[in-house]
Amino acid sequence: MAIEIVQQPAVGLSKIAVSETHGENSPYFAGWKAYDENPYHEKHNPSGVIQMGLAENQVSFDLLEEYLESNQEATSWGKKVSGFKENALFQDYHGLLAFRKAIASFMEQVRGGKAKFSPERVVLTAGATAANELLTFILADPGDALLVPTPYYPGFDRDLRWRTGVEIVPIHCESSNNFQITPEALESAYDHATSMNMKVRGVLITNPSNPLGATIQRKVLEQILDFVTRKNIHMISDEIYSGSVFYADEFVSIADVLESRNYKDSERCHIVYSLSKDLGLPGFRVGTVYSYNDQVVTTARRMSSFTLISSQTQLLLASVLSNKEFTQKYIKINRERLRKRYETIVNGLRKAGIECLKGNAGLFCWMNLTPYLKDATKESELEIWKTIMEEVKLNISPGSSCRCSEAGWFRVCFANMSEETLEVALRRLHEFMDKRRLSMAGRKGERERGAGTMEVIWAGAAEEGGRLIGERSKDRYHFLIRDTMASKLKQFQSKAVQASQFLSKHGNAYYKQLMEENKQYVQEPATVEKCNELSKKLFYTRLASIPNRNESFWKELDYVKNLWKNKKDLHVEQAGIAALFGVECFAWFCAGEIVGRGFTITGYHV
Amino acid sequence: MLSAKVTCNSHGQDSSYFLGWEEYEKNPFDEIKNPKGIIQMGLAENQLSFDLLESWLNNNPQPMGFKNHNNQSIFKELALFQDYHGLPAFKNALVEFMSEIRENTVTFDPNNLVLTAGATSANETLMFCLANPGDAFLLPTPYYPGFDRDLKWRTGAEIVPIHCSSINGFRITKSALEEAYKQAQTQNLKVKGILVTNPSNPLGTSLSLHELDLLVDFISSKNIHLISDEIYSGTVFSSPSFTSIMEVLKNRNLINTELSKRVHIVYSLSKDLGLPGFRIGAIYSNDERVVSAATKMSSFGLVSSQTQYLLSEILSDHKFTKNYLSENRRRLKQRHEMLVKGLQRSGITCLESNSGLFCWVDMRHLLSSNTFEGEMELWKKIVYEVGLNISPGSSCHCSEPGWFRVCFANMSEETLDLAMQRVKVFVDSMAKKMNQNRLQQLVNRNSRRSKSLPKLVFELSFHQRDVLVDER
Repeated sequence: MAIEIVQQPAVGLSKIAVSETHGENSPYFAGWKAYDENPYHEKHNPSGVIQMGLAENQVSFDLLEEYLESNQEATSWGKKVSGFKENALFQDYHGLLAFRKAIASFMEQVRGGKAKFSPERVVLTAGATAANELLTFILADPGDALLVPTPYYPGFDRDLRWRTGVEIVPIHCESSNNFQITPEALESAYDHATSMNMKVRGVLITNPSNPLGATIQRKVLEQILDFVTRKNIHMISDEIYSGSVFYADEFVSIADVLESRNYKDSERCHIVYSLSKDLGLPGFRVGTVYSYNDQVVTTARRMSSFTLISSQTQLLLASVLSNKEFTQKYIKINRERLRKRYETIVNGLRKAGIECLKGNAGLFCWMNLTPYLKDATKESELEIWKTIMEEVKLNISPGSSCRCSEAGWFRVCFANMSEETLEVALRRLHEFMDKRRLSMAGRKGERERGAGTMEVIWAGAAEEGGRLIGERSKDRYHFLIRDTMASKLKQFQSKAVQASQFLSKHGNAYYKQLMEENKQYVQEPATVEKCNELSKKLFYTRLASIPNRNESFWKELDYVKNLWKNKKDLHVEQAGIAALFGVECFAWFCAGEIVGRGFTITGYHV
Repeated sequence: MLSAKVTCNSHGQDSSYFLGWEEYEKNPFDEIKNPKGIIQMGLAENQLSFDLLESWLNNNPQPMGFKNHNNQSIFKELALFQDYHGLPAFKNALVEFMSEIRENTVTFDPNNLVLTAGATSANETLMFCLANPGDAFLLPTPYYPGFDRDLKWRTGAEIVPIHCSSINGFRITKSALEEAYKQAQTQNLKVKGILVTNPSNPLGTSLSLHELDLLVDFISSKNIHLISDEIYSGTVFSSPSFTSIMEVLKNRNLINTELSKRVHIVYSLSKDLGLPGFRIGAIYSNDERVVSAATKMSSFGLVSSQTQYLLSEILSDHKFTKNYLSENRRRLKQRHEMLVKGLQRSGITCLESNSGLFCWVDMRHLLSSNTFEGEMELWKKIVYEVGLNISPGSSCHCSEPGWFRVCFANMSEETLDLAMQRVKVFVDSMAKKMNQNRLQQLVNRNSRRSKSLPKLVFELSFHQRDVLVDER
């Protein structure tokens, strides 16, 4: 709800002007400020804040620049003498026909050409921001609700609610099924809205999702379409990242679903598109509403008077997009480059011990730091976010800014910087995680010894496992681990007993000091259930990350082997590392089992 | 299933005003291809000075090709620029241009400027910032027909007219202001402010110092806002010269007072530079809260960075702007004279004016009855028979029937000449018909009842007197 400031002077401003619904005072913007004050620069400010909170696509500018260089007439007003005059005077809210045609065919191209797009249904707006607001104005009255799956783009609070007076009711999605929208979640959001006496006017989805960076499956789209049809409400599909899907065939537009249904019930469907992401042109303010509803098209056109696109820009882009050969090439190369970037970041994070939701689209990944949270609260999330901003000097977006219902997820953008900068960012994160793990593991090892849980066993397992695995060749380790681990498990256990004896003998002095320094992290009461839950969280998250973590595994292994060699110097924190390593070893063993069961154990796409 | 905004008609686009446009679209005049087509005189476009802009562009090709002065590409930089504060270079150039138009009597702080996609968006944004749904703004009539859409449609605010009349040349008076305020109160509407266009669209006159003082006093006593829409400020072509509300505030030592925070200016380059396609509008406010809210709202209608860059280059060429402004004024003046004289030859007068791209034309003597039905009837004849699309006063909420807005800057001199000829032919034939009718009526009535004669005589003299009055 809007927070309204009580006005001081007799003649106030409007409630809208003084409300906070625009959301720009949220902590989310603090990161931007930090960036603005100290922006990273390779040479001039190498220790500055790296902006990873900005979903900008900078990977394919060279293609556009090259095109403009070799097609200079695109940037002028043509050969006709009156070209400039005609263009400067053009303010018809229908937009330049050539441009609408070009956009419609570009949308078709991005979607593989199956579903057709008519220029007659293209309504132009100055960006998707305006397109979404415009649709909300048209589909809902003040006080009505739109259902939006969480996590969602933070700007929606402004775009959909601020001036329209419409409410957003979240459709809660969870990590347990990769944040997919389910019929149950839809129903429950609908019921929730109804119970608050709100009239639900529609469902708004982003496909591919911002911030998840994943496309919505056809089956889910079908379910949503059935749902909105049953409830007789609208469906807005914001598809501004549709050209940023890494593999063309992994994207299904609502247009494709409608096409396969012969456009039955299509009058309740509306698509939002923009050139800000796929072409990387946010400054040019090109958005569009594509509606299958005639009345919506007419009204949206009239409303677009408030948000028309510069005719100069329309002319330029009409020229660029009309060149099919260019657009085809652009879309293809852009997809490839984004995919490569995505792989760089996901692998880099993995090396740092961080997992991401499996993505296939967008300019960002959805990073999972839940294992490293003090507790599963928004406060802990913001705490780690603040640390990352202040110490690691990366501006990323906390999941809470996207109204994620689970703490510990972050959106990390990767396409608004050079590869070198991305490497710097990943290096920083890696170092940070190493440090963090070190301190966490220390705490963990101690706590668990005190609680007498099974985890200490892994410390012993680590020794044996490390020795065994260390001797194997890298490419064969998968099977070897599975086989050898199974047979050696018993031996591990006896080693573990030794390890725990060792710890109790040498650990005491360190223990006291360490506990004093870190007492705020201690779980009270330290029930077995709670400790089990915490260890399981860590365990399963690590487990989920296994198969592709070879490199970091080998690195850690060397580290642990080294520790064990000098075990006379071993103190509690290092023992913790060893313990953690033990967890990993057992996980490797389990990995074989997971593979056997078809990658389904945690719900992640392992 | 759709919102009330879809079914409500406050966007005004189903009004008869748009019929003329539709008619024009079906049958547009073209010197060669369609010499009998409808001439568009309902469009306040400035086409008189494009040659000046074109020659500037020819001499300065870099900004069009995304090149800076060192001929380096700034395409990427511009394509990514989406800061809603706007390009600093552009904002600086724009405030300087605004000062120049006001002969540098006042200066504007670029930090108080908010860029919007045209004045349409600027006015709506201000309305969103200042009024809650159901609150009212007072507007002097006649006013620009688009305001019904811009100010009311999505904001839910109301417009209460300040009725101005031909008796004093449609000037704003204290009593008219008070009356409108009272009217709003009786309708249970909270008045949040006044919006004026200065120079006025559709009158083509700029506000007098007296009127401006009156407005300042009024918003001071009622504690309300004042929006001064000054999008035609660069078109003031003859005396009296233009006085901006900012100058009044300055002269009365009100700058930086609480009152000045309630004064907001709307500006645009659509009229003064003739670039409506580029969608460049702006809000200038002295209240930082309004600036801040409006800046955030401008996300819904930002100006293309490509266009911002081009215009920042054009406007920072002071030699060019100086020459453009004076040459443009000179040409507008010439055109205005052409229209006024042309109409005069047909016995039609215009409200005396000094600005804008149109005249406010008095055709009351051509009405068959002194009603808005009569006005509509005449307007249809002018659209269909004469082949001119002009705007009837009723579309501007004028309280007197018989006035029309006729634009003169969106066509060539030859076309304007042709339009004047068509008017002459029409008025002559109409006079002939009218005389016949009147004679006939006179005969009929005389034969039936001699009593009605005095009334008819009065009616005739009424029209004659008006013609004389406006010919002063």
